Amino acid sequence: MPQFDESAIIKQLRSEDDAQRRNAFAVIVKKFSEPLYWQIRRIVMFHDDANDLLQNTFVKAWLNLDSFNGLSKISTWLYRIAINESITFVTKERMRSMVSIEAQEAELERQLESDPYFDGDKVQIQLQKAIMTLPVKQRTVFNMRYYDNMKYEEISKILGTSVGALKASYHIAAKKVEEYFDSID
Amino acid sequence: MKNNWVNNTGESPFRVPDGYFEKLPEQIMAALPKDGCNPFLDYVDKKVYRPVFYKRRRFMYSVASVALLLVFFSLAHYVKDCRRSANHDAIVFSDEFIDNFLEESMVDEYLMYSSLIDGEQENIGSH
Repeated sequence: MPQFDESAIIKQLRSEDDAQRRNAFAVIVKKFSEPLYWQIRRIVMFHDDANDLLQNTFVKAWLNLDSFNGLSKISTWLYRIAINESITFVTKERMRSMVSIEAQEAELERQLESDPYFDGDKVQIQLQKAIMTLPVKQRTVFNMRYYDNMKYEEISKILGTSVGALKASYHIAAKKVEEYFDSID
Repeated sequence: MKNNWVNNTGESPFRVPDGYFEKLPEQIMAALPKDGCNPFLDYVDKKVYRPVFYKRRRFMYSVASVALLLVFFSLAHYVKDCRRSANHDAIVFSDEFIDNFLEESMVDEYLMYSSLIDGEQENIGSH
């Protein structure tokens, strides 16, 4: 894969030539579609939802190219859009389902067990159930640290939250997950 | 099961359909709106079909309002004329017509005057 020259890509994105802008955007899509997919997938958990949200993320980015001022990295900008889309989706889903958290956990377990694109053991299913009980922003921070091993500074740029608050958030999330496992032992 | 999750760090249980990431960039690019334009702005830029009088709609509304007022006043005037005409027709009988009517109906002056006074109908019948 050719090296990703961010400044050259940004220059092309600002070109008045539509074909040139589209080519530059195709390079971005190729580079970031997979990591963004995983980020979204860990928040929403199911492939079809993640696929739709990823499409929405890139369409939004494409339509708002003018709002990208180049002060942040392209990856940060895209992650921010993707995470906002995912958080909005999860919040709406939670508001839509008027069932108790226990009923939601049972439903999630059933769905994960029958999901052809989930290949986890009993511990993984319990971990996903524990993650599901977290508030959606806490869930995002937990995923970024636990699965992606992302630095707090990087998460801070994406979520617009201070490093201190993120550390506290991860600590609380990890404690809740631990308590969840304690409760089922 | 306690603390097992800590040992699983980084291992994702999620999978994707075969070849998903190979086709993904192409699918995303195909789903993008053309020319990078905001569809809402694009809509404004398009030449939208408007009826001929759309640009002069204010003038047309004024003309329609005046026309409506004229129709209203004309109608009011016509109704007033009709009423006046009806009243006028009621008293337009000629003397000759009245004389002939009285002769043929054998109504004398007393009966005629009585018929013009309210409450005298019964008296007419009794005579």
